[in-house]
Amino acid sequence: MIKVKNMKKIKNYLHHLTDDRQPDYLLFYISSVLILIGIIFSYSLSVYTVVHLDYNQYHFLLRQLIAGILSILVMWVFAQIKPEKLLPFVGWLLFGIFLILIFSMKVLPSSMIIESGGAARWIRLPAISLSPVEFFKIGFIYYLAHSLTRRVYFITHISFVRELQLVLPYGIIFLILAYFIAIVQKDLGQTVVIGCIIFVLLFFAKRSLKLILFILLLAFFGIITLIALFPHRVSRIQSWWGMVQDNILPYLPTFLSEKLKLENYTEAYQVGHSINAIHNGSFIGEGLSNGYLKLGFLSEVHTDFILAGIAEEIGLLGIAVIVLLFSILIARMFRLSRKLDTAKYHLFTIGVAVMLGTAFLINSFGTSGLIPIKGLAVPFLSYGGSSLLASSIAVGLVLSISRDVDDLDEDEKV
Amino acid sequence: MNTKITLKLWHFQLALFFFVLMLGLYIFNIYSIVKDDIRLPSKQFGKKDIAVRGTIVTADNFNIAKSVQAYKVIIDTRFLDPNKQNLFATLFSIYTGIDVEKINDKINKQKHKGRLVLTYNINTRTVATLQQLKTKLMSLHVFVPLIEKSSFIIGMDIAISGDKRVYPYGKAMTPLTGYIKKYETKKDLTRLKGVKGIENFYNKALSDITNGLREGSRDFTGDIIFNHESKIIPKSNGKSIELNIPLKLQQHIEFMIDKYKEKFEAKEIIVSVMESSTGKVLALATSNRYNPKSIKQDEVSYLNLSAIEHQFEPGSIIKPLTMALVFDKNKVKKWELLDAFNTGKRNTKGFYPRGRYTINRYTIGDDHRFKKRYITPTDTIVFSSNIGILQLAQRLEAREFKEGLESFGLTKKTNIDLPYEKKGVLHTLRQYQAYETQGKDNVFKATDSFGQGITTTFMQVLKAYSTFNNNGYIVTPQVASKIININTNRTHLIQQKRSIPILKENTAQIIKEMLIKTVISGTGRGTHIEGLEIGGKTGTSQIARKGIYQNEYISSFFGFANDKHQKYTIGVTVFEPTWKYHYASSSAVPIFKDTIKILLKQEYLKVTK
Repeated sequence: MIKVKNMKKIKNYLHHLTDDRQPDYLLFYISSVLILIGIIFSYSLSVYTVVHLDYNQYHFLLRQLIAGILSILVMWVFAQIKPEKLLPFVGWLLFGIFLILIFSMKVLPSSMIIESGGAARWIRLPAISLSPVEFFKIGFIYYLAHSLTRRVYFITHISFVRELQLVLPYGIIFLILAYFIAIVQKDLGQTVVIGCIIFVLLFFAKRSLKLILFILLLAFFGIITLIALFPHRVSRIQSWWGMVQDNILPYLPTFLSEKLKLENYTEAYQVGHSINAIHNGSFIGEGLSNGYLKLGFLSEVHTDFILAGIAEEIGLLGIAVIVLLFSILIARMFRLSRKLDTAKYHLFTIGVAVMLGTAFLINSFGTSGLIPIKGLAVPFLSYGGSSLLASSIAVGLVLSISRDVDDLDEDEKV
Repeated sequence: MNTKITLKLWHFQLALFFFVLMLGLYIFNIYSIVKDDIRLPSKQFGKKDIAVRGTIVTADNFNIAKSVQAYKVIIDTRFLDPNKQNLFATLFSIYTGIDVEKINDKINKQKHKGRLVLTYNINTRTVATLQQLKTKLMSLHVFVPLIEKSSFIIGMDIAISGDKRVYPYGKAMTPLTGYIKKYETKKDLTRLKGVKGIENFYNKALSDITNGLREGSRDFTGDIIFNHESKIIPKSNGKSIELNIPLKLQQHIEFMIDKYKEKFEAKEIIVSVMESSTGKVLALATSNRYNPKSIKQDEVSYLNLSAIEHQFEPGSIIKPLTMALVFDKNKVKKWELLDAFNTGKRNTKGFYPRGRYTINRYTIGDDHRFKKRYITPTDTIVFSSNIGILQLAQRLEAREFKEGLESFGLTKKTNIDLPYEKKGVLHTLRQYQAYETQGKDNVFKATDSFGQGITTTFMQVLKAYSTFNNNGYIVTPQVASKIININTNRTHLIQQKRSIPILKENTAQIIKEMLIKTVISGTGRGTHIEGLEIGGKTGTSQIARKGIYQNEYISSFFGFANDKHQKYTIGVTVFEPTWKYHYASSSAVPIFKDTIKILLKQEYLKVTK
């Protein structure tokens, strides 16, 4: 009897969580397809690492498969839940826990920190290790959406100084986060992603064009200051410039190009092989599993350089398909956010889109030599549970929000 | 807080436009990378599996000459962590047995950091363990990347340095085995070529090698990926040559003649033992041997195999050949008496003076003093009478004489399986024919009948002597017995050449008996061993330079030793012994006897009781 009573309670509770409305399954499918692609390439591209480290050949596949199934499950479950029941809970939880973790990275016992190349980006937990920034970003987007809605969104037509005062706290928050992520964790990519999220959300939070341009100017000088302050970044930029200069210098006026010309640079090793891999892949690729630059030449090919690895095996065509899938994913989220009535959801959706979009752009630009930033996972594709699960949680939350819109496919004037 | 919001479309349009623009830029960038002219690291990779030259194996299964793959170990010192150099040197020393200091020295003395060959001489067995060391070094981070964070490391590399010819028994069996020299092929490969001896004669079989190849796409470290596109050609080593000669017998004889060389102060001593019925050479030893790995300046003449390359005046050892020819043509009877031309007074012991015989203006003398005026053909051989044999030789027609000697193999190659064989010289038919019609003596027939004025090689005489111990059949000496393809394990027997009858069986028997008697009571006295059938003939010749005979001698003893089952033809030649030992009976004969003793000891012969 008690059991039945409990069952009823649970049923009631579940009913309370959901309603009859439908999430946007297209988002779900595209994300799932991307996850599937990631799983396939986690097998194909990890072959050298597997042999080199004497792992089981399914080592990476198995882990990515488990993370992938879990992620798809999370998306599906989240998609079934009403956003007002889900979003605040998940948002604050992620924001709180991972903010603390990020702040405490420096004081955690070193046995709990995985360091690689002088950067401490992972926390070692029993059985798994996770990258707190990946999860924190979602919480942070929620926090931003929440805070902007409350403090900023509805305040318009004010003086520039007043507006500056309004957004200053977010600048300070960004600087604090930048210190912990860019300097302590040496994760420039993630800092850029967070910066972009703040910037784009401010833009969508109806800030004046004047302010937006001012922020852009500030960012420009900020970057220059950063370069001046941290010379080891300069060498990286130099090595990047050495590589791309031949493509750019011819278009510059002579006096400038002579000044900017860099002699005797050492080519960035990884990016060099990344470009080799893309070149080798050509238009239709060498064929799945047939790449050879993935065999030790291109290191971290199943994680940070997965796009180059994919390009080698399925070519420009394959990359175009992936780009298309991402475009649909992002455009779909934009369309969704456009139709939302709730400012918080609207901003959150855009935040997620920016998060996924910038991560993809930074990685794809970095691995093809356009910008000197690397070390960022490609959402859904890169091997690694943290990034995959975090992206899926983000998309899951957006799916939950999409329940608020009935006619997503219908065009409507805003 | 569900306040109604108003949205601006251009916000979305701008953001989306920017995003799509960026993605377009990315796609365009990928396109331009694809279109760019980029040199990729080579994908195909071939690893040669160098095949090695074949082995020369003795009859008792010793590898007298063999090739091993030598490997070199290379490191790039730029990648060697200086703090771990000692660790590396210690580990490397444990794995290879090279001194720690030596390794450290080599690394420290390198002028500019970079590729460094630590050693060229690593054998196959060590290579396997070094491969393990290689992975251990990686896990110990002995080699570190040049640039921080880079994963590019050049660690220890093991590569084939080539074919290393090894002569495990040093001087043994040289110069018979010969030696090799390196040469570069058009494909820039170092190959080995046999220069002399067996190495040269069987060079084709020994060097019949196919290098193995493993080719396919490679990974970063250069390991080949074996898939349907990769190519594997198994390597095939050179064929092995098995000899008729057992090392044990050969070496014992070599040691024995080394002692005699010292005693006689001789220039060289050659001994050969051959199976009379087949021509299988069981030993072909010389005192003048060299180490093929380090040929010394004063040993250069040792490179030649004198037994076939040195032609010299044979002396009295030719007498049995002449005798055989005369008997074979039925131009002498066994008990016929020949004038010894030793007229004069007997001495107190009853010996007549040494015989003297004059042809034209030449006088030919005998060394032996007979107790009688007339001698039998047997006496002629037993006591080596020049006068006896020259008279018999005159009974042969010029053509008979020349062709007869040629049928014994004189002026012809013995066709032994060794290179650079000399033929020796006889006089011309015209020279032999001089005065033939007048019925006068011919001086060339005379001198040649006892081996003066002609030249032969050691091996020619040995071959000729086989007929007396083989019922008149002449054999072809042969050093090697088998060619073994070690890749397929197939053995090819080298056919022994058929022996050819050149004498009547009866003639051979008569000469054989004469030779036996020589050993019992003649010049070969002291060689006789009860229970064996031993015969032979001495020969001492003076060396002539520019037509003038020197005080230098060549002493020989050729003959045979048989038991119930085995028959061996044995030859001994001592070149330039000191005056004290210049007579064959005091130099070649004891060596002959010692050779038989060795054959007995090693049970090639058994005494019948």
